[in-house]
Amino acid sequence: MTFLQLQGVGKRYGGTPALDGIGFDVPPGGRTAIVGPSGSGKTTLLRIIAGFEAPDVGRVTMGGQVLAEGPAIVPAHLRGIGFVPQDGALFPHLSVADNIGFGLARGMVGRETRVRDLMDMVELDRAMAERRPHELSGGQQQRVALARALARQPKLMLLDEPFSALDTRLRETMRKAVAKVLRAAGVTTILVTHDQTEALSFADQVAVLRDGRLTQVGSPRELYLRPSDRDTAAFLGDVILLPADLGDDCVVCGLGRLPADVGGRRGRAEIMLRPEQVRLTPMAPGQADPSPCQGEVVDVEFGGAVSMVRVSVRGGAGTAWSDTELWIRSSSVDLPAVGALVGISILGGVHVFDQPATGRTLRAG
Amino acid sequence: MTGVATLVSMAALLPLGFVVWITIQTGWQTAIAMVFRARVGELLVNTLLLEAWTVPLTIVLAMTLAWLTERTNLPGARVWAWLAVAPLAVPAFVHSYAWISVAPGLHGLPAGVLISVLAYFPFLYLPIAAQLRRLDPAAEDVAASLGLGPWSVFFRVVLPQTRFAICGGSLLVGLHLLAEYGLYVMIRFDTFTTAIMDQFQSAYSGPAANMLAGVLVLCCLGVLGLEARIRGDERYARVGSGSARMPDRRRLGRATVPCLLIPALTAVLSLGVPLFTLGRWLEFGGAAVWRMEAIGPALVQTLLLAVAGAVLATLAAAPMAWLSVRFPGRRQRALEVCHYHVGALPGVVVALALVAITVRVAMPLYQTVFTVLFAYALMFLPRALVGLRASIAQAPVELERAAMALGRTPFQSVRQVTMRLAAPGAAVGMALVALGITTELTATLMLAPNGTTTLATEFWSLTGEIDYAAAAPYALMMVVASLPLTFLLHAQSRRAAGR
Repeated sequence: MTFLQLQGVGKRYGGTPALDGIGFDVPPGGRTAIVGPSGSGKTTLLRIIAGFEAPDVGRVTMGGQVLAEGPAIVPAHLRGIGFVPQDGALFPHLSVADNIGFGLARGMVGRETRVRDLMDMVELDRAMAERRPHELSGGQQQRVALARALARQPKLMLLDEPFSALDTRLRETMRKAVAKVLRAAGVTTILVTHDQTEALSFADQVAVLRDGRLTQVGSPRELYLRPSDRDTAAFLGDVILLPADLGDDCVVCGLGRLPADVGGRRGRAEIMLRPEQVRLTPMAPGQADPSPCQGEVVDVEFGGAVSMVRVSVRGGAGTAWSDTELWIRSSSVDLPAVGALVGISILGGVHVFDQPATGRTLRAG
Repeated sequence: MTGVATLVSMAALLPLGFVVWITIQTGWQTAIAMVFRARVGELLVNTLLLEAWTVPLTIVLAMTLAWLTERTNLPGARVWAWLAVAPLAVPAFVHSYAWISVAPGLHGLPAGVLISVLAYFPFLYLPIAAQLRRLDPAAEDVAASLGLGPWSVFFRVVLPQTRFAICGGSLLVGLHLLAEYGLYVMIRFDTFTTAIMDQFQSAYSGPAANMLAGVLVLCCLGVLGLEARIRGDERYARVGSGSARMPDRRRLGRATVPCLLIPALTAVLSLGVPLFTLGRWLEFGGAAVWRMEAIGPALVQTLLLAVAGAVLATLAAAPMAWLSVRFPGRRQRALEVCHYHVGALPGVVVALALVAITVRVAMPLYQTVFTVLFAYALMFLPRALVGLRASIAQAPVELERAAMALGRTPFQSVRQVTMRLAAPGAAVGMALVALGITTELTATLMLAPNGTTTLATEFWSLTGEIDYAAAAPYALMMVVASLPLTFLLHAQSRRAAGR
């Protein structure tokens, strides 16, 4: 079932395409994150959905109603779509209560009660009702902006990087609080962000945007473990990329023979692992190890709970790739020493890219 | 800071103090008899009607022009924006001179309102346009997403956020209406100021003039109080981080042609009429009216006085501007009133007070350049103050604190951070003061050392002799001399808004 649908949406500024052939569906009540580096066109896409800008081509429909058909659009004030901009954009000339009640009719019965309920909903102290926006902290401003957008009970809520101005810890708290409020209100939500962690943890559907094009749409888990290409993989988190030979339901690479869904293909391909899939086990010298593959620790970078360990892989299972080096995430408890021998085992399956292999070790930031 | 501001306030209180002192000397009986008479009531009605018609009309015109030039795709918006500031280069009494040349029958309240609106609307256009450029467009987006149509967005989001600009500009216009002399004399419309001047000319420093000045001061206090009431004591700093997106410009579509008529008609009336009249008089007068031996010295002396007076007024206004933004309170408000009221006093009252004081207390200063500059600094203090106050309000106190945290002394941080950020506003204020001095008439006539002539005084004496053709070169030169300042003002207001 589809609530919001985008088909072939495109927009140019001058000669430069900002968006090109964007199409995806948002199910009712779902939370979708549009994620991409800055300049990828994600804010433009959000503004088109909100009705602040018209696409050059393409169609946007919501609940069966056409909102945009090329440059002909329903203006923003007739759409009933909630919008929380980057820094809240509270009206500086109005108090908190007046900001929240801004979208409600002035003579509405029970207006004050509604404003109070909204303040409770976003967990704002009622004592703040008469304060001015500049007297609030960043997190409180965002709560007011959210309450203001919820006041008219929109069916769709757009969040434009609403947490980016907040510090890391507050950002996480706010993200959870906002998700909770929106879930309770049953509002379909679209979040735009450049922070992949935020996108993966907030949404049940993630759309990755790069240079104005959608590279992939899917569940966070699917995108993280089965990205469509190398750049998407690297954007969503650290990766280990290895060249490999494809076999029957397995691949043969520098780490030995690993199970994988090869989809009936043969020959060379590039495979991807997340560093946390690799587990190191200490080996006593001369002891036989059950791991299919061993390596020598070359470098250790302590990093608190999780440390990075660089391992030089020793020719496992007699394959052609014996000089592979890996950066691996390892628990900081029982860190191996530099020079120690370790067994290497892989948890879960590996992911095979469609493109041909290039053969390099990547440590994505 | 408070000390310096207090000192400036004391100086600013001199003319008012003089009026009060003279009133006491005159005796209450005589004073009351002079104030409560039909003539004063007539003048009061005239002045109030002038204010009540002119200020709202000016706000509507300035707001319309600012919105059209800043927030729509009006063709040639940059040119129209420049044309909306340019009437400032034409002194108010030259507007009047132009209009009575075109329509000799013009007189009374309607003429006063028409010419006042045309002469003073840039004072409101400038701050409103600057504020429109500064607004965060995200607020308008949000309002639209909350179901407000374009008109509601304007009235509930845009208009309230331009309230500061409207208040500041209206105050300036309101004070000018109270203080202007030449404009209203030419169209035979009596206000307190023209009546005071009449009294002064017939009876020198008579008590009648001083009593009228007392009532005028009360009017000025009324305008100030009204502005303070409407403005309130809120801070309208933009909430949030990062830089604002450029605001969208609304497409006018089929309304483009009617919308073009508004700035076009305004330009024709406020610039076309004066320039047409000047052109006609100059053509009529030919080469004979260009008497360089009189024009040259007047021009040089005018420019020197304008620059020196502008620097002095801005320096004098700086401490007060800083106090009124950073430490608003009852006492600061009182000091601010001291700074402002003097700008609303007609030049003749300030000059009269300074004449009396120098003659009685400091005879060597009588009719010196120092006294003239002192009078200019007092009279144009509000102009310098309005610009400075608005721009200091744009420099948040947090930046000053950050500078202090980086090892600057409080004085250094004010100088290196706040002053630096306030510089565009200060420059605007200075330009406004210099502009005012270039065209100042009465105080110059009374205080300038013997032999000092300015463009304004020469123009005035020639129009007094009904030699309109001979006056035209002076009017033209006042306009030309004011043009670069007007241009600077326009450019600075754009830069101040970061565009």
